[in-house]
Amino acid sequence: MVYVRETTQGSAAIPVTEQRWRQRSGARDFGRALFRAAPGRIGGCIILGLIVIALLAPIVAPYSPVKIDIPNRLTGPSAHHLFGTDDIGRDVFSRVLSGSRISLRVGLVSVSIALAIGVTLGMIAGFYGGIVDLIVMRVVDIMLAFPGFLLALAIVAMLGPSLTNAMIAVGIGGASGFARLVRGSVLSVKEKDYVTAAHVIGATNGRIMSKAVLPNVLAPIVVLATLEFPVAILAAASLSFLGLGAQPPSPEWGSMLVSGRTYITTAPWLINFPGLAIFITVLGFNLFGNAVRDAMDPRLRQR
Amino acid sequence: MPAKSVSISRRQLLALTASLAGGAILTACGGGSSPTATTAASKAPATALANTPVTAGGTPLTTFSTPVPATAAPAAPATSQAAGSATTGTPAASVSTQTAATGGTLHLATGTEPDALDPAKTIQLAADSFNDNLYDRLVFIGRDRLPHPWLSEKWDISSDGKQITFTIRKGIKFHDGTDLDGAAVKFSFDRILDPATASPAKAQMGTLQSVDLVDPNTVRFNFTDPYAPFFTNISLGYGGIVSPTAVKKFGANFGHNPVGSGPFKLKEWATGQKITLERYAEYKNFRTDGANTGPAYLDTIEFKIIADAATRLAALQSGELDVSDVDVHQVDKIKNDPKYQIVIWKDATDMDFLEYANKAPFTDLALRQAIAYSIDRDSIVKSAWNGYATANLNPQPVGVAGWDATIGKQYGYPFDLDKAKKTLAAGGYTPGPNGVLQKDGKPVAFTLLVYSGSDPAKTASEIIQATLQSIGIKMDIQIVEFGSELPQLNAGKFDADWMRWTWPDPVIESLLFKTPGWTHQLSDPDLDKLAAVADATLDPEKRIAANHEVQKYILQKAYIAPIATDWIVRAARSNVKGYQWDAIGYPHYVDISLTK
Repeated sequence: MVYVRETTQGSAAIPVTEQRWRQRSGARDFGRALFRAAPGRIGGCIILGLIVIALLAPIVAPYSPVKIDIPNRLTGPSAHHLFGTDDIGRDVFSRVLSGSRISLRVGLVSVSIALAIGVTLGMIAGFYGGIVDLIVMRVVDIMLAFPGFLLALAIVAMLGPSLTNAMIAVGIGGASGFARLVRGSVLSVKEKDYVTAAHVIGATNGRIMSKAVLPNVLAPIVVLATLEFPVAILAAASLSFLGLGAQPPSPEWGSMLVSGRTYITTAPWLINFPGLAIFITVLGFNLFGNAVRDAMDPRLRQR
Repeated sequence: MPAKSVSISRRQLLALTASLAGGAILTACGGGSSPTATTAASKAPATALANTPVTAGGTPLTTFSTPVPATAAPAAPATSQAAGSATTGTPAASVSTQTAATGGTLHLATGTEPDALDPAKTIQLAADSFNDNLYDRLVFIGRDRLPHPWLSEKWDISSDGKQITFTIRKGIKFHDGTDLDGAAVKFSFDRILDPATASPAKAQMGTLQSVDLVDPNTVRFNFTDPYAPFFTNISLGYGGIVSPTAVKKFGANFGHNPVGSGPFKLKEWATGQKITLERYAEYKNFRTDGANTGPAYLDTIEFKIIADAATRLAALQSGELDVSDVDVHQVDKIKNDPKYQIVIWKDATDMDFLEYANKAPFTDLALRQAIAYSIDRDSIVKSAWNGYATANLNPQPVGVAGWDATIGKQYGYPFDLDKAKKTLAAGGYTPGPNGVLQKDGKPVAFTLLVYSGSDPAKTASEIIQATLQSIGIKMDIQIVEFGSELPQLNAGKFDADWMRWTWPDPVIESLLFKTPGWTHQLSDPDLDKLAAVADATLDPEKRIAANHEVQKYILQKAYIAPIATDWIVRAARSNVKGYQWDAIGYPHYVDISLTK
């Protein structure tokens, strides 16, 4: 078990009580578990790199991502334009760099929306049970019955195409997964003695939920949120690809793909680089998410 | 009056629009924007001169279907020569007739399946392109953009313009062997006029009130008011003459058992898969704008129903199709492959333009003019259409009678940022925060709606966006699906939009701009008056002159910012000979032959 730290104590290690473990592990042990294997390290590096790129994009990018230069349209990768230029002469390298800001923001905002809605619903359903649970979970079931992307499509169709609406749509689409997960966790946690104790000393439901229940269901939430991140980025890129997300001239990777697809045989750099960017980003977050899940696995199993 | 004449409902336009003609008239923009259809020119000599059959400029076809074009200049159609032009000419025939190989099957694709192959029952673009082959009409629109006799031998127009009397050729037989005579012509048009038919094509008949059979080969059309677009309208599939015997026999199923007198007849219609036409062996071609005066060279034409453009192109490359539409950005690659030829129709009847909502800030002429000046059409043509378009300063498609480059040059708004800036300054626009101009404290910022599915429209919009930004106008772009865009336009819930329209007749001005305007955003009595004159003038020369006044007025008011007429481009296997379009945009399948 991970939290029996691999010290020299060997197999005779004194069983660590839950209480002691809590005090002694925390971030450091978790971090060690997280980065022990290559996937976690690689994923972490990619994400770190992305964040750096996103922060520095305006400084590092050689050109404005929306600067048009018709005479130099569709030039291949060169020293002047590392990734070539697009159909109206914009620098693809600068656009891909700037696109990282959009993708990270999309992931962050979408997952936050999914978290906010999903966790709230799941907590309420699990904690109160009964008819509330029934209603909330049936709604969640209905949402789950839709393929997530279809749901997002429907929401964007209602709200109108824009990047903001795409983020909202993807967020709502992801919420049901969180709701179901949280509800399950809450159902088991709320039977614990410390919750009963909290009831006994007269804590309000809100206080119990936030102080006693929520912290103890966080682990699976963190795992799911990490895994949801690349899904959200991909979904938003897909929406943009369909013209329902980012609007021109935004250098969103998905919309760069769709603009470039007519040039797939004549100017492949228009899709290669944004495609690669999406691939690396999603790969990074997936690797990292898996590593987070593995690192937390013992805690999950503990329940 | 003419007001009545142009009563094509929006819904109908939409229907036309939505359907993409596989091989026919004008493909609508990818997303389906363009209404299409009809009409063109006017009529013949105002006097009752008989217009004898003969043809108009017997241009040999070769010049027409320009094989592999360069980017540049489009042919400006000659419109003006109008009136006098119906001179005689030898049918352009002989050119290729002798050498054409007969036999074989031409494999084509249609993006949309027709609803019914019955001229009276459909205005769908896909169906119209089939009907063009199944049913001959009284007149065709020649290269000179004027009507010429086809099934009719000649026609007379009464001095008040309210009666047109056609003399029908003798000896023509329908596919079922029955005679095509005056009675059949009357039957065909009565059927459209009859309220019981509920014909969607009725609107195309304008002010036509009744049809009289004067003698077995003479038919008189009676109008409540002169209706100039009539000739173009009946030159389209809607004007097809149907076999009365077959209509009575098949009744409601006539649309699936079409019987006309066209060069091809229906052989097989496998719903959802393909439609096969076969040669009508007794066919006589009275048109004078093609090479072949006899039956088609081809044995059969097979139209596969393939909805997706990329799939159609792939089918061409796999040898499944002989001709396919081709994305302009793929053309250059295919062009260099000796297995294919590229055929291009430059005198297309479409136009791309920006139009505005009837609200601030677009109620200000100076702003509309400045926007029109800020459109770098050459760059747009180069980037968005890979050069396969004609920059257009006129509010009229390049291939429509009355288009005249000098009007655009003189009254239009060629790309000139200095003029744009000066116009704005003179209009009271001053620099504001963030480099955005302002007037009366309001920043000049708006959103351009662009229908989805069209890469050229999107690319062009991005170029316009960048140019406008450089002179202090902030334009956002929103790409929307055409189906949801249209209600927005009609409700005025937009700022400005990119639009593409196709219509082969000068009446396009009325369809677009006459009160209330096709999007319900325009109401200008002066413009209505000018358009009404043009639509009621049957003399071709005078009609063109009247149309010029309409164009000038629209340009003076800058109601739209014209951008381009994009070309219709097809890739064909190199053994396909004689692929070309007529002035309306129908391919002349009767002239196509296949070499080994």
